[in-house]
Amino acid sequence: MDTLTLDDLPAEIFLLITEHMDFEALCALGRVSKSMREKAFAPWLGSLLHPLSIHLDVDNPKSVHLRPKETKLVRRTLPEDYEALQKAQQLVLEVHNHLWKNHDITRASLVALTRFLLSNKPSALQLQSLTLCAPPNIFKDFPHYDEVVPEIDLWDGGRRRRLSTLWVNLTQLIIHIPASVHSEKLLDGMVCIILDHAPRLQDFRFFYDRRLRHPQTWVSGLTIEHLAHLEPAPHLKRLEINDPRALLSATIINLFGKYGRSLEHIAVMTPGFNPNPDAVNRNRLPGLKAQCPVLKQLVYFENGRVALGGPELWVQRPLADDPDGPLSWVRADGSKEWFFKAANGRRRNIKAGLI
Amino acid sequence: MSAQMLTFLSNDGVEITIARDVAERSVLIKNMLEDLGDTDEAIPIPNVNEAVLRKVIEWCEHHKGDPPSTGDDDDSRRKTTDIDEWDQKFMQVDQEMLFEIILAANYLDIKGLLDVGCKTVANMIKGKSPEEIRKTFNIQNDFTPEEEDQIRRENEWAEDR
Repeated sequence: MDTLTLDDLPAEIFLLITEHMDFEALCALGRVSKSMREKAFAPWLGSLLHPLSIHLDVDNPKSVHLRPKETKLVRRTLPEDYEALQKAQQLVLEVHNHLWKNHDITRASLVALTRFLLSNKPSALQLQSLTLCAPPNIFKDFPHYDEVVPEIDLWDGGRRRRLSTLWVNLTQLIIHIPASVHSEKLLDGMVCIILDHAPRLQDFRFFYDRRLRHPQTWVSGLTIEHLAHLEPAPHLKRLEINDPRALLSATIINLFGKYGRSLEHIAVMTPGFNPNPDAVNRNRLPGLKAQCPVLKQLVYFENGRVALGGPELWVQRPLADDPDGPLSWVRADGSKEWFFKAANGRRRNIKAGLI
Repeated sequence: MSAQMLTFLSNDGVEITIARDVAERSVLIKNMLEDLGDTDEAIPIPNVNEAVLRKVIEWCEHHKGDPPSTGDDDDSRRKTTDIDEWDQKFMQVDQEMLFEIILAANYLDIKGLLDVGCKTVANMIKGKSPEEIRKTFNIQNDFTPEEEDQIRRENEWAEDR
């Protein structure tokens, strides 16, 4: 009788063994022999996603959400989930943008996502919509991930060129800038590469979030600056930006000049910064409207923040808990972007003027 | 009243009698007994020989007081490759026996034993180079130098640290 060896174990048991192995062990195992490589390949791919887990949308099989896992060593990505991720047309990376805390999660998540992108052939991916660092619905406290997702230079060794080949079919790009400056730089670099190589992009949304509660906090603005000078420019139909300096900066003039005529929806906001609405009305608006005919609304938020938009990105509706009460401005699509929760957890009311 | 002792027949024809609560660490046997009721006849275990069956029984006897597995493939079971001291000593066997125990645990549906076996093999691989893994498991390198170079280039996007 032949001696039983590791190679003789059935595939299902081999997979159980690999679930107890880290990334390095899987890499080494895949280089042992052809048979080992074949058996270790699927777990190896799954381990690239660590610490992210895959969440499928039952109503939309083409939509996949990625979220950080709650523990360091948990079940590796299942092959069928990984296959769904490869076939996703809409991909959403959900990472909590908590200020000053857990910012390594964001970076680790971005690195894991990039590893996934780089490990697939461009022809194997069908991404049309990408949302990065969207806040998850439920906040959970995560451990630190520095140990399990070591640093990697994403822009070296041909990775930049390889990453640039994946965005031919991308039509929608939604970015929520993370709270940590460290992660913001990484995301800036990635988004600029995507913008350079997404000729079919029609819908670009770029949001700063919690950090803008602290107006003095530095933000790079690199991505918006890059978009304003992009050549050749994509034919954008929808553009949403919240940037602390947007309404007063020369960048916004360049953006409107470059994309204003093709836009069907536009919203620009200056959270965390209080430009004088009258000054915006007087000094900026006429020029901006001339460059962007769909610009309709000037919205004043309670605390003096100002937003420009149009058409129909904001609508007046009664507050949910008081149907007969005063009308409030809300986003027409029901999304929560740009709403800022007050310390007591209630949304701040919005006052608005329509122009 | 159900029998307190059960007899099993290994695939090499040896009968082994053990306590029912020990045997019921195996989900396969537990379900079988529930379906068939009590029996005085030896229950054949066609995929396991005497030596392996005795090792499996030794593990089941030591762990008979453990809480039963929920059957869930939960994450907590996979959090660590730590193995308790008794199980480590138990698994100090030659490789063929180790793999036979894993196969038997899988066949008999003994999740705890299967888990310990898989962790043991994983620990034998972790921290080793491809060449060290080949030596440990007596595996021949059937890659050509060109293929090895190709693999390195294919993986460098993700593997570089």
